[in-house]
Amino acid sequence: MTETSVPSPVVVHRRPAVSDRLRWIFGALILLGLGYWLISAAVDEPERFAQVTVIGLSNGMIYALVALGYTLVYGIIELINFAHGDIFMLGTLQTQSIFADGSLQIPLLFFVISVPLGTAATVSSSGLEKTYAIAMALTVSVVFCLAINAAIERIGYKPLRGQPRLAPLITAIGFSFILQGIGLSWKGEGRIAIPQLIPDTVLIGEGGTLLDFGSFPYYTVRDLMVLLITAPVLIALTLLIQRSKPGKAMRATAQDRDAAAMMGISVDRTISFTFALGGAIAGAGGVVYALYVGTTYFQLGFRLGLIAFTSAVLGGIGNLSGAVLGGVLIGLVAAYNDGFGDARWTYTVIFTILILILVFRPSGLLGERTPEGQ
Amino acid sequence: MTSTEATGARARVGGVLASWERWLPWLLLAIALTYPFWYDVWPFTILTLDALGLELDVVIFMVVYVMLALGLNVVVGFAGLLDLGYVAFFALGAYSVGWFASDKFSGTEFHLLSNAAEGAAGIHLNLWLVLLLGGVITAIAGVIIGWPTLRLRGDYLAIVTLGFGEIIPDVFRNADKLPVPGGVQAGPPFIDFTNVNLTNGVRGVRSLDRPGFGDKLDSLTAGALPERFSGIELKPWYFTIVFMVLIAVFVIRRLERSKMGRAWVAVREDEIAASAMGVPLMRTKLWAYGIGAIFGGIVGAYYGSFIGSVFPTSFSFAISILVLVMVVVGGMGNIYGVMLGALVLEYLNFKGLQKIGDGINNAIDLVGIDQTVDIPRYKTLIFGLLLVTMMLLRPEGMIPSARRKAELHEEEDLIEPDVYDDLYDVRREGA
Amino acid sequence: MLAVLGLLVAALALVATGCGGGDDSKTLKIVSDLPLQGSNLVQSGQMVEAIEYVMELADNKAGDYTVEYESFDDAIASTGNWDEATCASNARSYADDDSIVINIGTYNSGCAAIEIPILNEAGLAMVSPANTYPGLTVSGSGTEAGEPDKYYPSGERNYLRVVAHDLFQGSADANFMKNDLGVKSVFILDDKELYGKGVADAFEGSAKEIGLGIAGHEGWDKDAPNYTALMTKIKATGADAIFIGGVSPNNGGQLVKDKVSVLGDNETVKLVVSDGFVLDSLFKDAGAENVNGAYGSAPTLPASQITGAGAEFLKGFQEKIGVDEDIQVYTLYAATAAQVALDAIARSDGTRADIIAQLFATNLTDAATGSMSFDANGDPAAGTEQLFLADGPKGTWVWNKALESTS
Repeated sequence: MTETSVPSPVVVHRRPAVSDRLRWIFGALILLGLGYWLISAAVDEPERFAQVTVIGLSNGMIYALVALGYTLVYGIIELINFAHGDIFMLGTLQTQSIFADGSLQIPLLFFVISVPLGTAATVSSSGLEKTYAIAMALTVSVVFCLAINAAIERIGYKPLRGQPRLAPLITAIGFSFILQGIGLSWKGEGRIAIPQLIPDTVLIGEGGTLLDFGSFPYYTVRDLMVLLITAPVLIALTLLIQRSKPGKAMRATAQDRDAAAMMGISVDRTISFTFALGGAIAGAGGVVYALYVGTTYFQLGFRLGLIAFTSAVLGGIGNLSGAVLGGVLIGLVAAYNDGFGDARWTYTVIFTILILILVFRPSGLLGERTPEGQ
Repeated sequence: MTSTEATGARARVGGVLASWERWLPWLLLAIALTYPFWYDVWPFTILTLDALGLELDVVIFMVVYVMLALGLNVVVGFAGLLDLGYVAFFALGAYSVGWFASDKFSGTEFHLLSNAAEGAAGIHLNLWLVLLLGGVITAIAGVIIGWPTLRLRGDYLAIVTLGFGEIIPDVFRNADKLPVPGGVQAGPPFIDFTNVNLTNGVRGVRSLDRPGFGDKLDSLTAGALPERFSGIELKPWYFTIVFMVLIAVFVIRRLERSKMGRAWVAVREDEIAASAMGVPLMRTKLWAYGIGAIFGGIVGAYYGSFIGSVFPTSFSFAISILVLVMVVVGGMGNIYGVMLGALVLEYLNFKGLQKIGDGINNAIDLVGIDQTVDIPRYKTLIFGLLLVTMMLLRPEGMIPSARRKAELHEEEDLIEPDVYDDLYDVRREGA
Repeated sequence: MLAVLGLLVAALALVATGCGGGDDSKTLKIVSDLPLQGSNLVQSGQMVEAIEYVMELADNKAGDYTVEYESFDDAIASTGNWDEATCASNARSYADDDSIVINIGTYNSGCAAIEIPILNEAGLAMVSPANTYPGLTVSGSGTEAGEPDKYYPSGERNYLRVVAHDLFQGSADANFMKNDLGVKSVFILDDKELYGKGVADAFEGSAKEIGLGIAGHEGWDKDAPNYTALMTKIKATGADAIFIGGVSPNNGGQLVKDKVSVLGDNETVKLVVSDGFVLDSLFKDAGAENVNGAYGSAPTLPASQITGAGAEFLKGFQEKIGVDEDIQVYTLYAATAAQVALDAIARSDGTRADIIAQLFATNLTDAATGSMSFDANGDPAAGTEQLFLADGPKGTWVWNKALESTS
């Protein structure tokens, strides 16, 4: 054991788990089956198919926002940040405080510091009040989650750099538990309702204000809102990573940590920056979730985190566009299974996809971008 | 090399057995074997053990987790394969009792050396056979799961196992209507599915058989080896699980020192080097994974029979994590550490935190403050804090394995040459 | 770790002082076994208070016997729900303690399935205030082969319950849907948990019997973010009503909300929910306007409808716990179970076996829920099922009428 901090460029691992021909046959069979099922559904019941697709896309964008955080961190230090889903959960709880109590809250286990912001709003509030509330929620939740993720990195992961990978992974599980405990003491065990600021007015579909046709409420204001918040976040993130200096440092560190360090990049600072960025996206995701879904609770992050992580793996871990594609695909699969298959098997289906992808195409759909995967 | 004292300390840890290491296991064994006879008898033990809530069934649950932790330790501690879905094997083991020693399949009637009532519907195998069968089923499942996935690199393996750990309880939950291809049909999807009730779904399988020793041994020993274990008299249950752990410890220690054990270490430390030295990677990993699975299956079968029912809701991700935490906090790779970790954490999980909470609330009451703290409510938080603190301060665990400790503190002093020295110098020092 | 151990030792001394009891031969003990954690606590905590109040009214006496009461918890904190190991462990400790003669519990039928056989071996009586799974006492549709006999290895019954089982509720709801609401085709949803699946299966069985069309039966995943896709499918089946079996803490608010947003309000597509949803908290979780017009059934009369001895009990109990507290669905049943227990002990010779016999011979006329006697299976001789209508503007369930059950 000479150097544990940098994973050695392993070649044997890159070999896929199953022979190429078998992969192709299996892959083709699965795709054919799926394609046939979906096309027949679309032909038989185009209206329902369209409605389910829209639902899948909106849910998928939320998965994508969470998946980005996993993929960013994994891409740079190859750590499954189990706490990420719980940070997202704290984001939804913070948003709930802002909408329902009109205050920014800082949970400190046995008591909560509350800073009134006057942001309490309901669906019947005026447009100005709502805009203010949503803007404040975005700001507060993003900063809040960013701070927590950065603090976790500083306390829990930084001292463990250079240790076997299991150490930070266990720490991540530990932080996940801690954050759930904080959520529990903050808002209690039960599910809590988040005031719905955005009405689910139908834009396109049955009784739509833009286009009135069909028998389903195809596209509502809430679906539009998910798009209106998610798209700018994605564009900003892409620009940040492609154009800005810290973004370039991130990419360099992800590719080769030693080489990046030699080029004068502060690897430690870059990793901290990545965590902060991941937290910020989780915070934004929490607001979108709160606006779109309307209930949350302290264990929300666990299951949603696993699903988001699956999305990241599906798209190709470490790959930003992969995370978005993966998130949307998982959202669609879940919706199709709910809408055409049997809802009780949806969770099994999602994890079966995860396993099939890892066995037949470990690098994901768009290819992984990690130090090992380069 | 900075001081000779360090060498001495190292020698004890890495090489020869310290004296405590010789007698402590025997002392612990003696305590374990006699525990049911004195824990609720002597005034002193009543005051302490009883007040701590260490009744026999609590101890049985603790030992069940010892067994689980020992099994997972083979996978994670010895072979370095991170398994986040160990609960899948525990569940499969428990369900094998549900399938082969209950009236689940009441359409058939098959008895084999069983102590179930004459003419009872369903498949009733002798429970000792079912324990072994649980091991066989999970071994097969382990190979099926492991074969395609063990080639994946570490983290991906963790994710795949996590996936299985999530899928299996979910399948059990929904498998009261499991769609099974039953024929061909003309229209899409061309396969005709029929619903099969494999697990009773969320209702679980109830009234499982119990082990026993046959009526001859029962009458010979005046009920000390009962024909059928009782739900109330727990000593036979206790000795069964303790005996299982003893066998497990024996097997694991033999394995650890065998060629396979050394191959595991080699694979864990550096796959490429191990492969280059002729260690067959897949076979080595598959053995570790399979043995871990067998342990999980056998103890799962025991657990199912002891509880008397299996429910899909009992097998959550939290158990996978709990067992992993036991292994890590106890001291990965060291079977004594792992056993200690399992005992302490399952005690805290099942009874301890509640007792501590009661004690604190009593204290608060005595002081006269009208307030209660709900300690068990914050169990996840406390476990989280424990994990993080442990990882930051003592990543090698409570009783670390010498090798792992050396790895984790390598920047503190360069010890690798020392370890080798010590290993070779053992005899000289002893002489 | 050390700190924890230190705390442990400190706690020990205090626990130890609490141990050791009097050895009065005339002192008997009853226990309750309920999940006292998480979201269950709202209901189960009040049940414990109700039993305590019954004990207080009886001055801890039953005939010649002094009766002590202790409350046990069968839930674990990490899930907040009942736990099979805790249930087994609890049952064994009751069996071990000779002074314990009756277990008032359990809340969850799965937990009861574990405890009944253990207590049956020990010949210890169990009176449940809340188990509704039919197979614990009877065979029939929705139960499994071998039930209920497999829970009673000794061959003698030791289990009674003061609530009517699910077949009763399922049948009442199915009849109501077909005859009163004029439903043609119903889609059934359950929360994939023991209770919810049980009610939903019982409902499905009754619906088939009486010829109510079934458009489908699926489970919802309590951890899914929303259920709009599922509702889209229900819409496509053309179902004109939905039956929900389950408890609303399993994301029921979201479910009802998505039902209304895709399928329309509860006039357009009728909604009937089982008693796990008949909680006022549903109005907050789902939004009052979305619950408005839904029907719910529960085996209890609302507080306002109770007369006679029950009304008097309720008045005293309400004063004790505070007038602002809402009385939960099973609270009065816990009180009834305690009254039944005390009554049987008073008539018995103090042995476990005789107490079981006396429990089956119960004939109370002034219990908290009215008169109470049992059939040979341990089920209440006369069950009731009450219908409630969700009143959105008031944010509460309003009693509508008593339901007829054919089961």
